[in-house]
Amino acid sequence: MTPILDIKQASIAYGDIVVVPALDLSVAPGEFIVLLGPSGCGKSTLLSAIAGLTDLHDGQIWIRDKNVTWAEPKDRGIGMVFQSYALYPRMTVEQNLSFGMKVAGVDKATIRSKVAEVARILQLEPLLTRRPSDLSGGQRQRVAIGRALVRDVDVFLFDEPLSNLDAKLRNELRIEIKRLHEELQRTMVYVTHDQVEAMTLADRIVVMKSGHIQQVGTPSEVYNTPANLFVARFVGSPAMNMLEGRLQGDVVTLGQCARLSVAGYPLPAGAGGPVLVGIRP
Amino acid sequence: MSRSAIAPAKGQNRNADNPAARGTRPAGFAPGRIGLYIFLGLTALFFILPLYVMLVTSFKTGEEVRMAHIFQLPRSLNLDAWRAAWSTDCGYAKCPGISTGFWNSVKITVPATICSVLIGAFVGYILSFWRPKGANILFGIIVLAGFIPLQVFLYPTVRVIAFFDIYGTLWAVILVHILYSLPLTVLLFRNYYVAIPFDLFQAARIDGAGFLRIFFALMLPMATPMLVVAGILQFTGIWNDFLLGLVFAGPANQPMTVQLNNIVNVTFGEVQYNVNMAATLLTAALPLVAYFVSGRWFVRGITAGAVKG
Repeated sequence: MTPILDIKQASIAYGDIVVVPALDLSVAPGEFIVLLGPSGCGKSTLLSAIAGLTDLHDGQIWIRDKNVTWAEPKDRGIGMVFQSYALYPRMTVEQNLSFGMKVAGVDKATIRSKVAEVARILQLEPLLTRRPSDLSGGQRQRVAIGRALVRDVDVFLFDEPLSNLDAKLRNELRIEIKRLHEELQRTMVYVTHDQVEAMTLADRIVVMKSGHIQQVGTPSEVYNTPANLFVARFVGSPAMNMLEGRLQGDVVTLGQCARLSVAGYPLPAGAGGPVLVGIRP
Repeated sequence: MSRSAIAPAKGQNRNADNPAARGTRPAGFAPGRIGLYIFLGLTALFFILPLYVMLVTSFKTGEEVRMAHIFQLPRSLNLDAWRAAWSTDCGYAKCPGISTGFWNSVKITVPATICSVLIGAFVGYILSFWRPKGANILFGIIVLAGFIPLQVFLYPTVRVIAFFDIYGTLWAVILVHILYSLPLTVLLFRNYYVAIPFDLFQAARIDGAGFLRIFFALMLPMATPMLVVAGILQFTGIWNDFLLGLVFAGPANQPMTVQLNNIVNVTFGEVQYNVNMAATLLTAALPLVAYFVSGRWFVRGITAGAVKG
């Protein structure tokens, strides 16, 4: 299957500082991809480069077999949800949802039916005439998601959409987003530093650190077979315990006397010597 | 004081650890407070007194004025001085009064205010969101220009205006007002827009809105409080201007302030204080009204940056 979103050797730089060095990532149609990493790892920068809000330093971005590296954000076939909601404060919910279509010159009947459909999906009907300032955080974020949905695009981008909400709402909206994904079967790229969100939402997780991809895999792959120490330490709560030991055959000696059989685990052939043993509590 | 119902008995300690303390803290007057109020009262008096004298004098007849009791109330509300100031008196000769100046001032102030505010908003929008190369340097130069007294530029500006052959016209004075206002309005709007989340701008770009659409559909309506503040500042500033009106407007378009000066500064004959006072009050009336009408908006706009939402 051809990828719907294909990032080829993309690098992003602010002046002389390279934030993301040559990065490759392919996303299949309908996939839910989560970019996970600590703050400052370049995941949001990568997302805004996909959206076309940040220019690439080098490399290419392809969306649905079109090279969109130099395309304007509106021409890329993407919709985006921001952490700060970024709703237009002087417009009602309905105007917020229809603004993009109005700019594009869509006729009124189509706008109305499209807004009505999205409002139904997100249960925004009673809020349509309100201003963003009269909405709660969760309602605002639902409107922001709705604004992306009406665009009827190939790829949805989420930039830490839930981090401004309280814990209860965060759970509710997480379920809502997952439900939306299953209902619409669209490609979603979701940036977060919250591993619970990553684990529960993702088809595949992309773990990033200082612009580099550390591992790409399903949540269980990332959790059970981390590619490196960073991924092992970063994923999982409570965090993994790291103990130094010696490996001989399929037995690890920890400290002076504790012995641990690691027979069932996939070890590289001929492994031995000093090792770090990660144990999940 | 409405709190007296729950005020404690005299001598009750309201500050220290008081086991009986409960509910609203009782009101009290410390000596420092009294001093503060006296000071504030005197300060207010300092500003109100001249206004009082002007108001009172403007309603007196010439005979009453000559009695030189400046704080005394007029015997009756005599409107002769106001009538003379508005429509007959020019100081030394009979003429249409300062009513022509009033309309000249309107013709100068209204377009100059609207243009300078809108251009300031537009430039501020560009500097904050589109950030062209060198935007910060440009902004620095604009603000710097605002700090240089405009008298410095007066002669070169006269030459430039004369070069374009519009010297002594309404256009000249309006144009000069707009140009000299821009540093302030650009500064106001640039700082207002810098505080608006950048995400909003990006969301609009994803929605496909372009350069002008984002400004007119999104950023201009969002800046309503600042539009009001800049509008009032510009309106009062341009209305109260004397120098630019004197230099650039030409005799036919002299604004109210210049005519007021002509009335007040008579070199011969008798000084008509009552007419002078009335003319001055008439000149100051419109900015005052503008301020009172929009005072609530003004304060809201000034503090808009400080409070979120």
